[in-house]
Amino acid sequence: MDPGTLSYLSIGSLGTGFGEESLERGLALGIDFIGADAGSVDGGPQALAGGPPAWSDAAYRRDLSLLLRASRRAGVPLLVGSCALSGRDWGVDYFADMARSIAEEFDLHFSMTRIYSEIEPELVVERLAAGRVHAIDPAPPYDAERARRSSRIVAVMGVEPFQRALDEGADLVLAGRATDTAIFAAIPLARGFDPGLTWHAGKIAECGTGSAEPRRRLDVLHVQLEKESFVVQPLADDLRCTPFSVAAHQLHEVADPFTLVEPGWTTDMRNVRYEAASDRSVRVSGSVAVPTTYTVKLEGVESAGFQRMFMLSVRDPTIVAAIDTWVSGIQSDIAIRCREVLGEGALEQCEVHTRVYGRDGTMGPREPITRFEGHEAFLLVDVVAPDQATCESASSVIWYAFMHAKSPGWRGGTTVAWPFTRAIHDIGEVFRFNVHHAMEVDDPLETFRLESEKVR
Amino acid sequence: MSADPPTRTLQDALASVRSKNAGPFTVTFDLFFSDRETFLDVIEQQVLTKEVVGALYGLEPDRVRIFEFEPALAIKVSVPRLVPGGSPGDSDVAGGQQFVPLLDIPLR
Repeated sequence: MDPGTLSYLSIGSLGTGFGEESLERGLALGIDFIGADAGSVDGGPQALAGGPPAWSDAAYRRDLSLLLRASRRAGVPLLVGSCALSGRDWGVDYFADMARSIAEEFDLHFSMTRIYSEIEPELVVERLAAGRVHAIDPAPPYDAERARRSSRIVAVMGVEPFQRALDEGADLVLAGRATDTAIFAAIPLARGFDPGLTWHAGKIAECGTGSAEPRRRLDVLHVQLEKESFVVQPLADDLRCTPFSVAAHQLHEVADPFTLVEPGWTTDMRNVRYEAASDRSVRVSGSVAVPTTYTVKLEGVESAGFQRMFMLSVRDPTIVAAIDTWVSGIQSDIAIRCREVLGEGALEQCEVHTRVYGRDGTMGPREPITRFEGHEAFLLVDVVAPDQATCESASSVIWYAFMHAKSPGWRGGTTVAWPFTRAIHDIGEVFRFNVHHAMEVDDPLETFRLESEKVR
Repeated sequence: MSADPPTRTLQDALASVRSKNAGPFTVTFDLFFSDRETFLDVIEQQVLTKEVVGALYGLEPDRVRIFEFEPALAIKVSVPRLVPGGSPGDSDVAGGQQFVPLLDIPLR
């Protein structure tokens, strides 16, 4: 059966903005839904662990308010994935509170479904024991003990939780952690569009005009699915999609550009075609999807300890000329004083990272230039300890050792420079991602909880 | 170090580079060439290999993935990160600067 055509808008990244005029143009084209991804793990583990999301309340509210009003005006669903960056339950509730407040402000009435994606470590432990958790290379070692060390784990949802919410009449879906593409594939798959095209279109759409040129801040992208191809176009006048710009997005933030792995589906994107449909839109075809064993990717974080940091600079030419030996010469002072203050073995429980900017601060061991040149150096030192009290003691000892480290040229004179009166900065508890695995589930909805309500 | 550095490197052939995490455990580099001739020339020279990239990043060759992607005149290189993005000890949380060692790969 020919499913006809279906079109949708993708705004890029909720909280980073888009043109209001672009959204209006998109609505005028006649659309079936609006999708907005809000997630990323690029900022590290803190957001999932419990830290704040990337953007401000005002930034999220501006975007969500415009989208919600647009979706109500057009009478089409609004699907939001990975609420407040990490998709943890708190983020879903945060966006839900915001949606209720926006509804009150603008007198909007709609059905809202929240989808929660946090799971209990014990479920993972059970699946590990059953051999139903599979590493996604490269993956860290993972076992029951590590799963139980996680302070939070989310399962990354595919299309099915969105589809269930829509079947139950949701006008607004606020999803926890979701694949970027599932937001845009849920409705087309339910309506019978080709799975290969649908997933590929979702991949191209996920960042809004990330697939257009010139590359500037993200804006609204219009996607039209047809029987044998899909067409993408940006809605801002100064942007255009070219076969090159859209193809380039197939490479975006994926390790393998030819194989798109999603819950329940793998899409082969080797034989794809990108053709100009106009001077600013592109027609895409050729992807082929096949169903696979249903798995959900896991994202989990565990505590790595408590961190403090300080920064300093050196301009003394005799230090700069011997920066490596100068830094290593401080280490025995640190070891002696830490033993005096904290006891035997305490320093060994800490991680001390000394980054010398100007030498290899950015690249670390992967810096190809081994020779240090320049007339000054910037040092960023951080200390990670098992508890806050140890971190405070160790970091202050290490800071003092650097402050009074001897200059090789001046018989111990001078001290280092630092820019703020508060020299040591508290970062607090820090975390690490500890899993990169896919877990088999008995049902695509198994690990997700849906809560629906009438707003106003 | 050679007294006569090669006159042409990969940097000279590139129109654009994008360097970014692909999840917290991988960093990926998209190397775009300005025209088909340059793209095909770099492939034909076989200078961007798993062995070359592995040596630059301190990795066994089988930990390196390389894809030629003709529709965007690009070569993608994906390597494991040194530490997961944002873990203690990381110096480039989103992986935006880790492409640099590739630039100096010599071309004929």
